Amino acid sequence: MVKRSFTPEELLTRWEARREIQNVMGKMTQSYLMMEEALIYDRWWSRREDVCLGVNTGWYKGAEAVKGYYDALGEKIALASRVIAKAFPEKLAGKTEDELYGVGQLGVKPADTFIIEIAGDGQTAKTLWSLHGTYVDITPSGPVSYWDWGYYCADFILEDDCWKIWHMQYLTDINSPTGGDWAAEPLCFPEEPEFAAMKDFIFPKPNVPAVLRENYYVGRPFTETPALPEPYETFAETFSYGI
Amino acid sequence: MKQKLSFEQRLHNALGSQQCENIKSTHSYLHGMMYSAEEWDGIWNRSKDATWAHSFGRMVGFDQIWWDSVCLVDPGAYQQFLKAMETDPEVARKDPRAMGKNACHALSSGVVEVAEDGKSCRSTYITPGPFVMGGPNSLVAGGRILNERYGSDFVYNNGRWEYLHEQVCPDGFMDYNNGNWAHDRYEQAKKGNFTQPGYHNPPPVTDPGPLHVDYDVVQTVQKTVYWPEPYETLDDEHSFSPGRNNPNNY
Amino acid sequence: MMNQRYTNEELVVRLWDKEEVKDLMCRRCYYKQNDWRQRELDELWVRGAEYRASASLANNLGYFVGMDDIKTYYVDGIAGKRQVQLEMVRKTIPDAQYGNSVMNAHTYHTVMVELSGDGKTARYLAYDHGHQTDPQPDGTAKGYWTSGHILADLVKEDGVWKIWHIKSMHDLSIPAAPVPGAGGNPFGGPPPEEAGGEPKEGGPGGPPPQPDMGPDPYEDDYGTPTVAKPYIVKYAWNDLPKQMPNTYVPNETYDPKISYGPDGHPDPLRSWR
Repeated sequence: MVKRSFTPEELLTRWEARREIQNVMGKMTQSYLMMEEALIYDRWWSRREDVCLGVNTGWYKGAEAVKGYYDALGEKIALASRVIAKAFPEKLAGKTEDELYGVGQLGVKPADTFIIEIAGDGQTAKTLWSLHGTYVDITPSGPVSYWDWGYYCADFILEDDCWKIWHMQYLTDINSPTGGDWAAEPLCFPEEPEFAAMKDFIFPKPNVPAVLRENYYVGRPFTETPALPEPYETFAETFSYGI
Repeated sequence: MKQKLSFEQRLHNALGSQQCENIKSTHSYLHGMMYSAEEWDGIWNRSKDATWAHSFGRMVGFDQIWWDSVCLVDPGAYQQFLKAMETDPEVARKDPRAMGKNACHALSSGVVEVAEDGKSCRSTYITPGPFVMGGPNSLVAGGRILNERYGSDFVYNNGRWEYLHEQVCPDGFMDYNNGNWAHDRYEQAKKGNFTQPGYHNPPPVTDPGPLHVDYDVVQTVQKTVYWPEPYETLDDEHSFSPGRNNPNNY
Repeated sequence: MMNQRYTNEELVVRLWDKEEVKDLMCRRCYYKQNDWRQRELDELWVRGAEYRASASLANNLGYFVGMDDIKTYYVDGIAGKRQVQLEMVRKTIPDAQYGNSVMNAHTYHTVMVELSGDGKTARYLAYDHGHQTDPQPDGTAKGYWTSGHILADLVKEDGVWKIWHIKSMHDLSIPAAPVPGAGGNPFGGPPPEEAGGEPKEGGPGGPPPQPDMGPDPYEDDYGTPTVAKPYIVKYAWNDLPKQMPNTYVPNETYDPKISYGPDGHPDPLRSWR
């Protein structure tokens, strides 16, 4: 598609859209530092029913499934917080449940290297970002830090004059414990009785299982980045980051 | 909010946002190579409301920032330089401060908002920075990552954008490949060793900290620099340095 | 009047041009990850003959100048490397295809863009924080963290921004696996006993000890540049201040002496300021 030309007013509006989309992604990714994952759906996702979130192992398709994904992140944080509080009563006794929520947990999941294509009609946008992060998972072995490297790809849609996430993929190439080579056997730690409750937490699986991407292993076929956004006029004439 | 601004006001704010991104990156590179004098001389507002904060506390006023960040920092760089000269006379032609440092305070996940009145700009960023010092080769055994968050305020002063406030929130300074930083911390905690708030050898500051503490298994969530939302003007409600937002001062 | 020199309409174009430059360089980053190197040269680099002759791509050893030399190094070089890797992998995975067990990622962040006063060229700086994984002769693979800065001159050709010069200055490779004898004290440990002391090597806040690791495996990829002008890693970012895009006042027009091509290479004998 040949890029059409825009008036100065249109170009400025498109610049503002670009900045707002960056801000939404910035806030969404900074939410992982604030332990506010459970609020992501309500804050930045479209209210449409056809939203979807893709991860390496499949799709959370539909509003209920996507919301369920973020709710589960919040429930896991809450459980891990209670487990840590029990394990370290001498340091954490007396704190309320709200104060304890997120203790000992941290998610550094920054996004950059972005390509943002706003549709010619200004109603949608396609975006690709690199993710290069590290986070703490509270496991049955206690806290373990992981590398988290991959991509965010997101279709945005303009709703009530705000840019909202419509489809998103959160895909990783590396999701392995820090301190070891992702091309070798991952580091393992012995289970800790104080953290046994984490074994009982079952994260909801994607409601549309599929292999969207595989983390690196020796023998993995060469795996290109997710498709790059290209200029487009209306969403109907481009590809979707959803299903 | 943007709908009630004129085209010219919106353009001013857009250009300001872009310029503050550039200033933020300028800071990152100059700080990464310890060009402190160039940084504070070049891109900072020189008022008594200028502040720079880290885990140890908040420097208040340009004079204190300059003393702490230039006068107290440069000698260490020169001492390292003299040590390097003993083994490599070639360094004599180099700038002592940048020697042997690759301290990239990378900037990602930026949120940038310019005030409706066009007189200030606020931003938050995350850094997942590669941070290594020294070494004659590019292959190094144990680099470190610096996980920090930044809250920054900028002001439009005499036709140019300047840094007014910076707050650095360190979450961890971890090895790339030596141990598992969260599990190591847990093992220490089991022995009763917890992350110490503050900083050894902190510079003198008007507002002592600790303002933010590195990750620990017993550390509760820190929302020290929360991302900016659209706002009308820089004031104590919309600032990373409440109490230092008097426009008559800058 | 917002700006004494430019009309508001011109300012909007300048605003958008900087975004186009960022977008182009991010595309380049992804093309490189995908090994779309010929496609990168075809789609993202300069088209005009006058620019193609002086186009350059630099690594730590120097500058490949002209699109033919760039292609020989950047496209044919990686194809040769991938073929060697494939033959290696096929010893354990006979039906392996191009790039099996290879992974590389780059990210461009901490961006600065300086658009020239005349609006015809732009200077770009970003930091590239990434990783690379390559198969080994014994059937395993090794991962490395990589980092370095990216400097680029871009030119607007027929209304479209194109890459003219790129310098990829590689700072570090760090093995993903632990290196015996390296590393600081465990993260977050107790502070040093001598309060007030400087950070010590191997201590909290100090640099990790550096056992001699020998040459960087990625130096094998550097090739023989057209113009040998090295970036010397041990002096780190000593030359970067002179090369950074301007923060406030842009250069009026393109000047080879401040370019990221070979003519703009910092003079090693005058690298103080």
